[in-house]
Amino acid sequence: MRTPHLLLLAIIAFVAVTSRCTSQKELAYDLPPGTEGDSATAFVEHWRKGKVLYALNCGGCHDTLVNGRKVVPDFSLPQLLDYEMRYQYPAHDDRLREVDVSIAELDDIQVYLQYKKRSGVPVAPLPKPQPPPKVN
Amino acid sequence: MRATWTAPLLLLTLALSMVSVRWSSGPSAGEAHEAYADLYRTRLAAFSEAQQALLATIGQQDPATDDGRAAIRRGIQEARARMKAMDLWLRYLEPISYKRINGPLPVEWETEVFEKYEKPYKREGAGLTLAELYLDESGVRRDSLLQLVQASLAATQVFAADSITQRLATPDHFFLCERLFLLDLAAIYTTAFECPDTGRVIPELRAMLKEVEGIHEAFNTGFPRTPLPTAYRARYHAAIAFVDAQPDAFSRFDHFLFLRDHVGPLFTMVQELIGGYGVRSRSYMDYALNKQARTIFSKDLYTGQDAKGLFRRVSDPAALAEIERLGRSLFFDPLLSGNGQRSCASCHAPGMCFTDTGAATPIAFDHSGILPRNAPSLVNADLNHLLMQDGRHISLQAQARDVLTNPREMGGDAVKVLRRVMDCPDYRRGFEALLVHTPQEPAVTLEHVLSAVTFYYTRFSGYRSPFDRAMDEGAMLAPEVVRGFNLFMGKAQCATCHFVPQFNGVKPPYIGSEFEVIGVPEQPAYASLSPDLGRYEVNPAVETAHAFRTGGLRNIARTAPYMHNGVFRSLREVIDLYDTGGGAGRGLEVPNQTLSPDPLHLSEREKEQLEAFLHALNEDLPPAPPPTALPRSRDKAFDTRTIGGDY
Ligand code: HEC
Repeated sequence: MRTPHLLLLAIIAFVAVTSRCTSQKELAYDLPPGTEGDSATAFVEHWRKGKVLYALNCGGCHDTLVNGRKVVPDFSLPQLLDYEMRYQYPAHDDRLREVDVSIAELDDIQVYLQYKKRSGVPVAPLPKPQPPPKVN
Repeated sequence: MRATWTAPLLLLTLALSMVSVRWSSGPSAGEAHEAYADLYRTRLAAFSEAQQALLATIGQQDPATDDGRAAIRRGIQEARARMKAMDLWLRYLEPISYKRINGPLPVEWETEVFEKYEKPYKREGAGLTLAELYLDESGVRRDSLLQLVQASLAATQVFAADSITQRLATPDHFFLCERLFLLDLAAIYTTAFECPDTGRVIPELRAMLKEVEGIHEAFNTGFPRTPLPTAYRARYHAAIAFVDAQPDAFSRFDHFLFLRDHVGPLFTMVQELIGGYGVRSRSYMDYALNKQARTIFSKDLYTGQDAKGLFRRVSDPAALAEIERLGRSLFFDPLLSGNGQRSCASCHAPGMCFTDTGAATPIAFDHSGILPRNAPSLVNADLNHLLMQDGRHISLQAQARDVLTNPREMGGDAVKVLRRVMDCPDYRRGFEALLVHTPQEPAVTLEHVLSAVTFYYTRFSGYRSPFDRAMDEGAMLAPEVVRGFNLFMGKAQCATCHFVPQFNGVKPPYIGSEFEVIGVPEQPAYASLSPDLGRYEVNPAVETAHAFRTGGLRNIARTAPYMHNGVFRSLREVIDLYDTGGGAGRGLEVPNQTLSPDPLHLSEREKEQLEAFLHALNEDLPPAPPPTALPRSRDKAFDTRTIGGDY
């Protein structure tokens, strides 16, 4: 029981150390104008969390393959409408509830998407909802 | 007894109807759906015309005379009938405009679930219910009446907008409208919640049920590929026949049978249709409702709170068991308090249904007096959208953080508490091992600790009562209990604030928590009003003074004393408060009381029946024994701490 946990811890520690080394590259954000000192620290913290949370909750559907690489598309501001995002798009129905992504987490994701470096990839025209499953 | 044959039949019908079905939702589905949209437009026009006629009547008649008032009342009733004919659509498709057509209160402060981090906002009601209430006031003025109805007419026009009517072109909205309609049948339409004249509740219900049958017909014509199956329509028809056979008198309506044998089974079927047809929502009206809930009385009908907090995405059973183990230990651990002497269990004793039945209000931190409010039971706390009796918190974890650091309650310091927890190797190992599940958090935080605590105690919200089993499984109940429920829904008017199915202040579509002013006294003898301003402390507005969040009634027989200040020791005293019209009915000055000050005239026998019903809401809670030991700390001073705290 204990061993796998220790193994996981070792992996986490490794990831933490290596990600620190690459943090310059990983933290590709545009600081909002006028953000400095404590508010810059807070911003970076939100942005960093948002990046992880985006990958966990959204990337699976939204990341776009460009030349074999997954790219995070550029969402535009009006698309990131707070809670409305949770139910506006049929694909989000039942997927973006507060028990899936909390209010604070969604805020972090929005900070990330809004201030990440542009990828130049627009949000792909997404597939229509699937046809209803056959009932048997 | 309850037709279990409906499910297989429904599935069969569904299967037949879906053979070689192509899911096309655009106009290419043909012109058929126009038949359905036509009915909508026809009814909308009739509703507008009835309101225009009402405006003309108000213009011609003198509301100061009996004859004038009678004519206006007839006009209101006619307009209400047209509204009810399309209530199924109106309520769901544009809820904000609907409030202007049929708002039950002149002013409402709302904080809905998805906006709960925002300030409550004020909504002014208008429309037919208010016009009717106003008509009975002395000094009623024609222009005020006109204004109420004009606002309603203007709101009605909104329903002709393209943004709304285009939703009629696909079938999805219909099933969601129908589901909400059924929930309103269970919780609102039969309780006089928005029909001040109780003599018309049942006649209006009858007429509405038949009008909805017309909508079903048009829907099946318009959307033959996703029809309401025959089994559903047959059952719906049986519901109409049931209500037709009921007496007109509101106080004699059999709510129990209506809910158990008609609305309940219809709800189960509509949920199956929503799942089977792959219905998708685009409306916040469905925000809290769960498609997986099989029955109205299943605990997962709607989601109030996120019990797992930071661990929300964990589904691995071993990890969940570990979170629960840590949470249980922490719940009983006085390490979380400033003086190391109090734990969550100090005021929310698991052996007393997670409350303290021994004290009206708890002792304050360091024995410095007592706290102003009763400690509520934690069982089912997560079925609320706003927490605390004044609704000041939006999440269980924020609530826990507040109590922990409140100098009058647990007197802890957020940084120190986390350090103390992490000083116990058992806790440290446990939480660090769980970090893989929260990759956005590089280290263990207080939020992890609080999330484990909320996860532990919310496990106790998953249990059911004899009443639930009677509703869902047809289990027998004593006749006194059934009569008590019918009183609860009818004559005693309890259900106009304690809504089906959780009997708390969360009403369909279950996206907000309600507050009420009932005039709770400071002492059992009603010498004065409780000075506690309640909701006003969070949202200072004249309407909110002395308002408290409506509490849930599950397990209520086990959680005395009652009310925000624990002033009453027995259920009977509480029933008496309502029977005599709240504080205002007892002569206290409560200008904004939301409870009618009129007496209910409940007999002794009826009060006993109400109590019998409330006892049937006691859930089958398992024992919640404390852990046999608390984790050792590296700080030896803590190793003598008491399990559950000292006071
Ligand atoms: C199940 C797959 C899925 C997941 C998970 C998901 N989305 Fe979406 N999202 C969609 C689809 C599909 C659409 C297109 C609209 C629709 O549903 O028709 C969409 C639309 C959007 C839009 C509007 C884009 C536009 O083109 O207008 C935004 C913004 C968005 N999603 C953000 C998010 C965020 C943020 C998350 C994570 C918290 C998320 N989504 C998670 C599938 C998903």
